[in-house]
Amino acid sequence: MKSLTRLSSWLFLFALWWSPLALAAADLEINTPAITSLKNVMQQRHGDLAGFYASGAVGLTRDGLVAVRDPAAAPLAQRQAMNSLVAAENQDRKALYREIAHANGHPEWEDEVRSTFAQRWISKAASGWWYQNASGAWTKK
Amino acid sequence: MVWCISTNSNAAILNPIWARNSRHENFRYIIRTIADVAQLVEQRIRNAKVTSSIPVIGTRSGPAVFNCRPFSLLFALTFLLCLIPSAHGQQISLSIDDIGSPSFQIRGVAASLENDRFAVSIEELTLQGQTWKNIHLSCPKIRIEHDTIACDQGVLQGKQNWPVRFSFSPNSKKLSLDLRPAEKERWHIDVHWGKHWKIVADIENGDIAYATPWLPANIPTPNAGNVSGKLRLNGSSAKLLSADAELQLASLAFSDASGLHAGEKISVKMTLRARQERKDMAWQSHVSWDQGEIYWHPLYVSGSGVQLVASGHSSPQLIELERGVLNWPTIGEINASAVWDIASRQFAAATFEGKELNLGPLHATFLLPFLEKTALAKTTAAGKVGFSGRIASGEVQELDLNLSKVSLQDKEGRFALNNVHFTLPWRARSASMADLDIGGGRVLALPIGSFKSTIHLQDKNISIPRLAIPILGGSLNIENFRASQAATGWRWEFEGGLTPISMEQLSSALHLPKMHGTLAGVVPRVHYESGKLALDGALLVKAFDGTAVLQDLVLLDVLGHAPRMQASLDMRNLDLDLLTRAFSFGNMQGRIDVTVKGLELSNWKPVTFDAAVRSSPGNYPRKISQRAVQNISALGGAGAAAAIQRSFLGFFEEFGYSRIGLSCVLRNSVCMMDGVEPAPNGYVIVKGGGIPAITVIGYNRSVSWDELIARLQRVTQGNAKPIVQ
Repeated sequence: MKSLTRLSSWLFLFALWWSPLALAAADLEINTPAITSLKNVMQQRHGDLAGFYASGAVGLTRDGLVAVRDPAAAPLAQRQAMNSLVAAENQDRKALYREIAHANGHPEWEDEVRSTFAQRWISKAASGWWYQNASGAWTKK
Repeated sequence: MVWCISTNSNAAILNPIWARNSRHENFRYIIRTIADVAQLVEQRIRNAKVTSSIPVIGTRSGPAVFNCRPFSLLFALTFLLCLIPSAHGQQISLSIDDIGSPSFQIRGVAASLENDRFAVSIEELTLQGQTWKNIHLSCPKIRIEHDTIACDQGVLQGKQNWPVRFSFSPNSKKLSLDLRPAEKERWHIDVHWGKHWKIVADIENGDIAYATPWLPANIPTPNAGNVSGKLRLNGSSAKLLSADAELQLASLAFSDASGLHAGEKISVKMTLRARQERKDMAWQSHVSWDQGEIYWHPLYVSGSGVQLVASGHSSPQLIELERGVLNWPTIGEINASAVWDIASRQFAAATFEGKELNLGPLHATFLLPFLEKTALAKTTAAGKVGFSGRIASGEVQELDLNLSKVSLQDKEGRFALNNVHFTLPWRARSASMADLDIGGGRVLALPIGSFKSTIHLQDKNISIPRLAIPILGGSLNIENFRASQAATGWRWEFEGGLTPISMEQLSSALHLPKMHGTLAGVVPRVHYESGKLALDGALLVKAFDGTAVLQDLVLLDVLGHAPRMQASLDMRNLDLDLLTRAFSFGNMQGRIDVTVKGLELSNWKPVTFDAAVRSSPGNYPRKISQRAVQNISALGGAGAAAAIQRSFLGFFEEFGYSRIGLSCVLRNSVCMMDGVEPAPNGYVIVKGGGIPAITVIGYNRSVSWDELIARLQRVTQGNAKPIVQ
């Protein structure tokens, strides 16, 4: 019984050590045709989304996606397009995380990839953009 | 001194005294008016106090004070009125802590009259859940004429100072109020009360914000705009007998807190005529939306000449729309009737109908926003559509849809359908059949011919027993198509086949090198759910006089920007002659087998596979042209070599071979190549046999995939310049 407990503790410590190591091994810059395509599409779309980020209408969520934060900050005629852009961006972001995890040979890393990207998007956000902090509250950068 | 009175039974006795004191009628008149108001409200009054600087007859000299709890204000005021001998140069004031009723609450009322100067202030007024604080009305010169108290230069003080005129005639039971909150803004309200009452409001550029407190809390709030027009209400006791309105809303803007339901710069004209008929209110209304824009998530509409004509009856339980006609200039006319159950908040019954509507604007404005995540998300449409339906108990019971001469085009050129006719008679809880007739179209670059089909519908399940789509001289047959709506979205499945189609037409349509022969196949059960399309069996295709079997097919995110495909491919006995002619490779005769295991495409480009091309077993002529030799050599790259029996090269166009083999294991964009057998420093791609024979050796085992593709393109374009040993 004692040895079983010891083994469990050892496995737990090993898991703690292994998890970040495993993620650290993920190549977030890896390229596949799909990733290249996604990056290109997202880059083009960014031009349309940038104004909404700057006005605070759209913000960066803590789970690596984007969300409509304050629709009233966007002109009425642009709100439909804004919602479409957000939906398309989120679809592509999810696909990007899936593709990166897949390209690394570890589809099960998708959540970790997404989490790492979430921090990266927020750290690279321009001043004045809105993002969700760790507790989910909207914060202006 | 303090009087405390709890009954008004002496009022009749006091009246003669009032009649005798006619000299100072004005002052008494004011008091009586307040008393009348008190009688009007005749509700719960707490801590009312009336003070007067007038000595009261029959008492000690000094001012009179009435301070009673509970209190009949009417009686107290009437009593005071009777006792006042002279009002000149005197002051009277009234204060009430609290007046309450089920419909309103007034707190901290103070009214005073000093000579001609009248003032009233209210600390807090609560009406239908809305509260206003610190309201002051002052009139520097109050005018009293017989039955009328009037003020021509009053000021209503709230957040702003508003000039106000009023005229109050308690005997005639009339109140006229004229407010001018802004330069061009005017609210004129006439009120007649009694057994029958009437309210007439005449509004010029009235700020719509004043209406905000009266609107339901769960609808978007107006934040700009003004209203002009006339409103007339007639009633008896607490009952509304008739209502007439002619109103114009201009520059209206509204929004809810989320901003997902908002409008701007809206101009609307509306008329309403309502009359009490027995227990119901009969009404007719006409609304004209002339300009402005509305975003009602996910719809965005701008109005220009949109008209709504409606008539019906209303009761406390039901709102009945007997006839509603919506005319949308770019779309057409929609008729509806409905009964809305107020308690259950649903349509007890409704019908709707639209004929010969323009599908183009209907599709762009009202349908596309709901097709965001479907294959139709980027389409344009044209043609006519008609529909009619019936709702009962909040659920659609019948829906008839009719599309006529419709065309549908994908903006990205993936598909197009022309001359579509579609008739759908859908009935809840019973099976129905829809007829589909498509005049033609295309899928990618492939033209498709006209076809018809019958679609079976049962609730939210759709099935098509058989659908034959003419394509390139053959037919794509879809059988046993079934679609149903699940919690995760639509899922569907089908099986089918492809009757022989012309490879020449196919290659021409796809802008590929000209191919010969026919293409045919059997499609096993294909099913789609949650963005994943998969094949349950093997897809069998006949091409290049051989067979190709595609199996383990899985497609993910087909319509997204990162489609992913997994499959295995096994091709047998392909005719090299047909194949090489198609791709301008240089003629080869023989047969090959191709196996591709673990094929994985990302965005339709290969990222992983284990592929091998081998000569098929069996006896058949094996010939390779000089040009094909050069091209195969070129695939090996700069280091490739062809060991050719030089003495024959100049004399023969064709050579014999015994085996051909080339394999590629693609990993990380690098192709690891091998041949039929090892050779010194390389591998044999073509092993010679017969006379004249030829052997081609490849030396590069590791080739970048992009470079290999570039070489293939050069080879098939006829630009290859191989190194020949």
